[in-house]
Amino acid sequence: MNAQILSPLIIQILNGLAFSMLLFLLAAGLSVIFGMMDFINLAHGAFYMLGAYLGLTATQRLGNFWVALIVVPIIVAALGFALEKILLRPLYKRGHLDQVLLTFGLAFVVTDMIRWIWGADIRSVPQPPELTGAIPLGITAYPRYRGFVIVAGLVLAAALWAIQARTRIGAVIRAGVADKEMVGGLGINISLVFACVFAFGVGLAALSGVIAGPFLSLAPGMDAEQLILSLIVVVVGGMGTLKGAFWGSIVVGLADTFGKIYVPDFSLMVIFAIMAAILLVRPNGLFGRAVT
Amino acid sequence: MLQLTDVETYYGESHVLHGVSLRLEPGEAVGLLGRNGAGKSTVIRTIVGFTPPRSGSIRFFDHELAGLPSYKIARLGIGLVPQGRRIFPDLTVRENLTLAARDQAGGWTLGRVMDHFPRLRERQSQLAGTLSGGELQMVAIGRALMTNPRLLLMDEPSEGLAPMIVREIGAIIAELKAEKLSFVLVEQNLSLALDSVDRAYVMNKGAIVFEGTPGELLADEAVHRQYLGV
Ligand SMILES: Nc1ncnc2c1ncn2[C@@H]1O[C@H](COP(=O)(O)OP(=O)(O)OP(=O)(O)O)[C@@H](O)[C@H]1O
Ligand SMILES: [Mg+2]
Repeated sequence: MNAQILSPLIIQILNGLAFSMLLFLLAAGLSVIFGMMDFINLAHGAFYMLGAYLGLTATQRLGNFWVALIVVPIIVAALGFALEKILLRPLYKRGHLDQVLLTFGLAFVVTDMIRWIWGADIRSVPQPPELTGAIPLGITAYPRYRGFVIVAGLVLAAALWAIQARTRIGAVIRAGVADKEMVGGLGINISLVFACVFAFGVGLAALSGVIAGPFLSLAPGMDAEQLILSLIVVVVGGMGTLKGAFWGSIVVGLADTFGKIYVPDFSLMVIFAIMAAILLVRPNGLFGRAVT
Repeated sequence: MLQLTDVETYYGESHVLHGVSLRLEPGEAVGLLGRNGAGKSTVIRTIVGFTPPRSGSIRFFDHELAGLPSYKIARLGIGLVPQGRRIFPDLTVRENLTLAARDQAGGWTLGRVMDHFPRLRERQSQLAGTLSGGELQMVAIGRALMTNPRLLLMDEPSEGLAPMIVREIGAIIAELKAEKLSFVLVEQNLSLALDSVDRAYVMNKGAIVFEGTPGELLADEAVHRQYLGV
């Protein structure tokens, strides 16, 4: 193959991976929250969007993208912690329908507030000056910022994996996914653990939004598309597993990117077809275990 | 140290425990017997707060347990070896044991648990999901001991195990008794239960129908036939 065919392909693969990383940060929280508390959080996309817009304002006001990258997820995580305690906790024992209705309503409130504060125009976040331009890659070159997104996503994935696999809190989370009642019966305050996991997951969604700022554009509706794709990631990868969220994101991110190029009108259908095919072979997703 | 008085427990609308009262003194080993579905596990679940009682009281030393979340009940010093073992399959054996460990001077440590269960030492880095039934039961007992409980609740530890492994579990229970650990032992295996306890309760249809020493229970043909025989 010559460079003229190869280099667009490489670029599209890299674009797909960069998008996968944004999805992963969303799906990781969504999946662990679902796996641990059997809780469907449809407001997850709204926290992503809130992160993106707060990232925009923080970058403008502080004049520094990197500070925004740290501060915004912490603020949104704190908000998530409070919301979990006040609004969501009473819902765990209720059915999925109640959870879906309430968190969907919450998503509307948050996204309407965003529209009210920031308006409905398409906005974009300036790239940090350190990451403008392109990285030469032999036969081609690739935007530096997107390269950063891929590397940051991989580093975060590795860090999350290490936390889950190697630390005590990671062990408590894995145990909670398997049997949270028993974790409580051993003397661990599982509600507090879950509030922290929820806040952390929401913070990751906001981080995804801040990172997405200089890469995708900010507009009303950005939350819904990302939420749908990350829900598909959770289903494809398997509930409650970080590994599933990671590989599911790679599959969905690449499928979405290539679908949009080759069959732009049907890209979501391509993803649904892939999801259906995976579920036929593995009903619990790539890395999920049987739900009991 | 433990006193249940007139405990009524429901699963949703279905009324399962009907005025259960029982007590346990420090250092005592008490058996809880009865046929399938008699309500033995529900008594255990009620004590640990998994299925809190709708009415009645559960005193543990000078604390009222009814209404407390289960993590607080556990922290007061109640260790649980649940029916079906409920070991966390994605955790290693060592992680299962240390997950909820609460240290205590002169109490149970990882080293001491592994001295009691040498097989767990060999398998400590293995995922618990790969263990055999007997090994899982050892992890379940070890996991509860690592919280250094003042009272241990064991729900059918011999269930589903081969006779040779049941004897091993019986030996471990005898050791715990020799160490004067207070425990409640739920069992379908009558001889294992009667060898291990000072006193036994028999349940039927969610109520206590007999209380006495193992000797008294063995002597009472009627209770035997009605509530225990197969
Ligand atoms: N989660 C539940 N929901 C509704 N009913 C239940 C539930 N768990 C148990 N029951 C019912 O409560 C009654 C007592 O059950 P329990 O598990 O306490 O019996 P058990 O004596 O432990 O029996 P086994 O020896 O089989 O373990 C049974 O009739 C059972 O069907
Ligand atoms: Mg039972």
